[in-house]
Amino acid sequence: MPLSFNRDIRPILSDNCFGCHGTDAHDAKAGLQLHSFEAATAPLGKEKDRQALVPGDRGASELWNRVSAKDPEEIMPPPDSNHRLSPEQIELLGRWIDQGGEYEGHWSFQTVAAPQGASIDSLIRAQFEGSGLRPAPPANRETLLRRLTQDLTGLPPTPEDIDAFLTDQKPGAYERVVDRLLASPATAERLAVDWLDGARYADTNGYSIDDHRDMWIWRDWVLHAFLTNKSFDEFAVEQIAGDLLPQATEQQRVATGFLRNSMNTHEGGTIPEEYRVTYNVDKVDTVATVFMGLTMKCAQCHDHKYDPISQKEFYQFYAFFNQSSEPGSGGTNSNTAPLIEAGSAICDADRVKRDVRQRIAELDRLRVTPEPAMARIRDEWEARTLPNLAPPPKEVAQSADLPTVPHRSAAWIWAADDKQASKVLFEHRFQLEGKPSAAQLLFTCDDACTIKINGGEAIEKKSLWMEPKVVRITNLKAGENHIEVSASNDGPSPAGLLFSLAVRADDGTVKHIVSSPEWSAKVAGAKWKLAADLGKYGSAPWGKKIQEKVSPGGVGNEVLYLALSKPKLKRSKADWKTVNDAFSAVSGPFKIYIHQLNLEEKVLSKTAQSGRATVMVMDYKPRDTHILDRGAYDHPGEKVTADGPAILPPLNGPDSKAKTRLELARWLVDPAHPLTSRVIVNRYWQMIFGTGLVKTAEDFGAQGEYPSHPELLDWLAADFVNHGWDLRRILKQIVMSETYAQSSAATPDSLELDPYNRLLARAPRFRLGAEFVRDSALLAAGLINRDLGGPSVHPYQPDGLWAEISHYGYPAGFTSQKFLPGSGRALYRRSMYTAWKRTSPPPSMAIFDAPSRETCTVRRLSTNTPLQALVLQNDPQFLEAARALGDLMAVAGSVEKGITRGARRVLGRGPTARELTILSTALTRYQQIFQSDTEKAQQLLTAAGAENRHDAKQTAWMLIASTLLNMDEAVTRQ
Amino acid sequence: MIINDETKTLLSRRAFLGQSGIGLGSLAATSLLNDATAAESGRTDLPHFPAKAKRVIYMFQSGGPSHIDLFDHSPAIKKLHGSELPDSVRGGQRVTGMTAGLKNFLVCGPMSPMKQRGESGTWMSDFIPHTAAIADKLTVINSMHTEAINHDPGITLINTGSQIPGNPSLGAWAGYGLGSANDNMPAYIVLLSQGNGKNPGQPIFSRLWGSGFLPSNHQGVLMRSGRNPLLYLKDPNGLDRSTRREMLDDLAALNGDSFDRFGDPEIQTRIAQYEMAFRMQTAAPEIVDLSDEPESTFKLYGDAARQPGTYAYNCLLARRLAERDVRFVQLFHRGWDQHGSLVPHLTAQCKDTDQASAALVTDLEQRGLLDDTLVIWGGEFGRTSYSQGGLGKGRDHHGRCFSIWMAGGGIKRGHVHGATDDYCYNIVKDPVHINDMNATILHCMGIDHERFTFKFQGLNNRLTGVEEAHAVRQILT
Repeated sequence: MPLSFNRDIRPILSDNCFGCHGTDAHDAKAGLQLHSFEAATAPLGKEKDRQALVPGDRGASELWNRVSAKDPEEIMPPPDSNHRLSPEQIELLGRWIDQGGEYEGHWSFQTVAAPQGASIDSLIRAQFEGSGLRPAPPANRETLLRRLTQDLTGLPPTPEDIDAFLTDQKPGAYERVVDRLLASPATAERLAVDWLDGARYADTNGYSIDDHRDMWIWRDWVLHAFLTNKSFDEFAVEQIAGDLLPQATEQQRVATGFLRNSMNTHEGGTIPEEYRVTYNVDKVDTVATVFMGLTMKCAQCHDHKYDPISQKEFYQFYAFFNQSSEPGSGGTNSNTAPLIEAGSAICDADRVKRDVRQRIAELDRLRVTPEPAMARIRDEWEARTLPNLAPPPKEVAQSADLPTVPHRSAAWIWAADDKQASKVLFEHRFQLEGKPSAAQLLFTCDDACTIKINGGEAIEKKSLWMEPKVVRITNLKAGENHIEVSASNDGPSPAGLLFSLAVRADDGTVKHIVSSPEWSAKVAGAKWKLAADLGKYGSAPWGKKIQEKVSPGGVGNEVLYLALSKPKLKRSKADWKTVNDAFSAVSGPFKIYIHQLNLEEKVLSKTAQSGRATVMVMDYKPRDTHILDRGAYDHPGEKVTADGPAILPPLNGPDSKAKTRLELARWLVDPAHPLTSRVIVNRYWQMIFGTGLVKTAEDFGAQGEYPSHPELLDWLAADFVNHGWDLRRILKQIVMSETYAQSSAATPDSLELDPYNRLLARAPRFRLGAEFVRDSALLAAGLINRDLGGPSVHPYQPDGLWAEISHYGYPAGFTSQKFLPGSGRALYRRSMYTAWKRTSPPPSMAIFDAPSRETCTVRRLSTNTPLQALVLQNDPQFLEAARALGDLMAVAGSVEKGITRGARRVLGRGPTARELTILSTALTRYQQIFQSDTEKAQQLLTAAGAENRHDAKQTAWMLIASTLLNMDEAVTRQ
Repeated sequence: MIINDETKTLLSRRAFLGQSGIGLGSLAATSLLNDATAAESGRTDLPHFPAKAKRVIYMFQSGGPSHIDLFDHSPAIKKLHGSELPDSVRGGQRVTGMTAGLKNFLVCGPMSPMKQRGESGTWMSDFIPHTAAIADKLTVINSMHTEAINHDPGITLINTGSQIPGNPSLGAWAGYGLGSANDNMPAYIVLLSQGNGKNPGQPIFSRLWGSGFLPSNHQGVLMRSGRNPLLYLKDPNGLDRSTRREMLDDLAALNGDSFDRFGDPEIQTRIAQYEMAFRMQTAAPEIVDLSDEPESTFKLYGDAARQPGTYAYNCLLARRLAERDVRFVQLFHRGWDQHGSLVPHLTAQCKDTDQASAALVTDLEQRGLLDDTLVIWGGEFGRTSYSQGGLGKGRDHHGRCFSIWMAGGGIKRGHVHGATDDYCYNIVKDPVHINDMNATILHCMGIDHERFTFKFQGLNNRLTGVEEAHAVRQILT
């Protein structure tokens, strides 16, 4: 076989030589570059009498002499470089030189050249020649239907889908299923998942505090685009430059949220410009990776070592994104400008309001039923507190709604000149419009005092100062009222009086008369002066003591008494507020918890009203761009203007105007662009076959892998572009091929000949992505909630994961610092809607290889770990799915029918005879266990979300369902 | 066709299966366990040279412990206390947004007396009496430095080798390279705690123990207090071990059938992973069950070690994990960010950490484990020797120099490395960059950091980045 430079030689040179002798002219060792024929044949050495490459003559070629040298001083790569050529690689280089040492331009920068008259199958099979491989037989219809449904929707087929397909014997049955699936909302959701990875979508800001942001409006835009099969070129242009389109619509501006998914920070001490640069570098990385498979960010600090991208070209590309008003310092608890308020492309405003109100109701529920640790301390406090509260006396019942906590504006006061005086007199007059219907006084003093109102009976307090007193006041009158206080201080430290009188008028309004520095005060024998302000109620040291003593009891808080004396289920929302307020006043942790709930509710309030939300978008603000020396934000060098890399087709701008993101976007989807179409079809091939034709989907440069089927890649790319960038068409082309429909069963021969199955003489078999593992279980169990689009949801996750790493408890408070679990139908949404906190991603998904979404990811690596086994066995979501599936199986009519029903729902096929035997035997065994121990049955069903049940049969079926859901096949497409 | 071997792990497993001649026949269950071990066995080219440390315990002190108040002694500082820090010392330094507005830069000496300790005469302050008492067992590096000036980039840099998210953590690299030495536990365990010095401390992130571009099985596994020491570990109430065992046996039979039909080695691996999960369900609760610890343990670590979730408890767990040959244990302890309330907060922070940190070293030594366990104590940067918020009130972040200590496998005893100027502000001798420190840690584990690479996005990435870095030979035994 003749050598191909790109396939056989470039990878050797790139990996081993280009680091020192590559495209980076500034850094070429000994002045030698090997990246092109011209460079490799240039004269070398002092005498200029040598050449690295002498075409046709390996013996005269310095390249050969050095790579084949034995002397450690001579040999290349040098021993300390950690690179070493194998004998096979050295011989390949020799043969290549002998054959003429020709170079080819790097394959991915060449124009797409589609072979004529070819097909996916012909191009796949062409590579079997001489390999001994033959195409595998077709997969059976059940396997094929399941594979197809999983690949296109991320879900298994339903039993109805299976029946419909198996009974449809008319020609075109398979194609009809393909068309049905491609047009389904489930396919839009499945396609969105990969796009969210590439776009690094998340619901938090990412750096440092990692608080809440709202980008789901953009996510709905993506869903809508896939649902309507928006042509990929428009899809790309709107996301990169929708705001710059003529008469841009709201939704076209929303689309640019793609770029704004960059993380941001508001960490104290941050230098904004440093981070503004970081956000833009992230945008370069994302666009270059997602659309071009280029590792452009490698050229941020220096010329790219492997690919023809100079540092200058990096900053020319960067300049496209640098022209925006986005600041370096991110917003707190919210989005960062530029932003717009917009509606969802998927959900109408009522649906959005419904979802957000549902979330607010979830937060309410968490006020009533908090997490276990909070519930426990509140229960303990309730048990402690209620016995100390007095029931409201009947005669003053009408005052029960007057506060027994000092009003917040109440101040601690004493004599102005002498804060340690042993005796102080106060006087204060105030007006009332009419005679009040009720009044209640709370006061306290360090140490004792006597109060007279309107010359009436003296109200005395002699107890310790931290024991406030609450009394009914009945002698207030319309017009002017008069207060006299005589107060004494026993100790050497400053004293204080706190006075808070709540007065209810006939119309129900409450007025507060409180101690303040406006009051007159004097020590015995002196003149009246304004009182001294010792601090507001709530300030140290008295405030804390008062809070501890006043609110929960000992002082006859009737409202609290009434609330606490009701059973929990009977308490109203107002009762719960009373209880939680009272407990918050004495419990720091509980106060923080309630504060967090309030904050989370606050950020939802606008959307709850309008059904719209803000979304971060791009805008255009001209700004100079400079090369940054070594990538440092504070070392600007030469000024550059926006442009594409020279190795790619010219990026044309409008006449006499600077090039903008709009020209960039159109250039990316120009049919002449050699990368975009290849990169995109490769990723869809990867989605369906598990591995791309270019395995390194993120790198189409010299260090990336050469395509396993270069002609097929080009054939697909051309078909994609020539048919209007029609994504559904390209997916259909792939899944309609015979290659796709092969059996995935390996034979000893095929395993030995092609262990990685890169030649596809059999269908690949691989584990489902993280989202689809969970979604599939929910569907099989009949639990799944198929609502499309909308704000993110908060399904089960273990307690405490966010709080233990976050700024939870910081007094001012930030959003998304504590995970607040959802409830009801929101628990069963598809996983793509799960709230994504970047510094603590959903744990069950991270365990199944989901990325953190901190940076752009276009290929997930797949692992196989014990933690995955634990998720499938014990995650409450999967336990609940097992229980629900078990319930469906239990009522099928017989054991065999039950197992068959379960197998069809999970595996997309009926059970084998052996599976029937294994599972029915197990069922009998489990039933015996749980019949003899109903408590165990109850515990198990409770763990699976069904309380107060202890049915041995259901429990046994639950374990059979769990066994099915844990099968390798359950989480695998095959 | 070019096969680009992504992970040696995968290759070695496939090679193993290939050599075993696995066709469509079923495979005896016992051989599967070997396979699982192979999957966790790390790279075949490692170690590069004999390792001094078989395992690592890294007590990461998040927030920026004040080197000047704890370790870094300047004889001149007493006289300079209260004076203005000369511009020549600050020298156009990049400062945080918080310091940028300061008018005065008043030099502030250590807030607790510095004394020479042990035979080595290593300087340490009275804030950390227990650590001071084991000074002769440690190497203190006073010449650490970093480019980062704020927490997020700082802790991301020291834990992953880059300020920008996306790279694997040190522990993930270690697990990827060397694999697990324990068949029942993951190679990299993470323990979290929060100190009383500043509560809540600065946030931390799962990326600090994440796998970055490495396969996700190398991410650190959180070990937590409570019902589930590992996430999802505990079977639901009502499900006995024997019932779980029966279910797994059925599952293995069902999956075995599947293997017979498809011949996919991943199925064998999955069967083996379920077995490991089953073993973990016994192994992990044993680790957190302290009932077998004698009273002397709690005397050594302090009573706080009885309290799950505390730093002291985590130190004790670290020893129990080391006893079980868990490769890399990392504690993340928050609260070292003393911008204000320097003295009370630092006092509280040291009270939480000092005794248990020292106890861990002592305990490992008593059990003969210190020789082959590398212990590291340190944060992401130091703190300024000038005051923030008034003289003696607080200190801002300082990356130009800071102090850490190391002990155990491969590290000198009673040694001090590097020195700073009179102001404890600039390094004057033997600077150690974060990458040098990480290179040193890898070195102790038998790994040459330059040859330990993983290809991602076309680059042979390494923990220590593209700039030159060196293991610090002077501190090695």
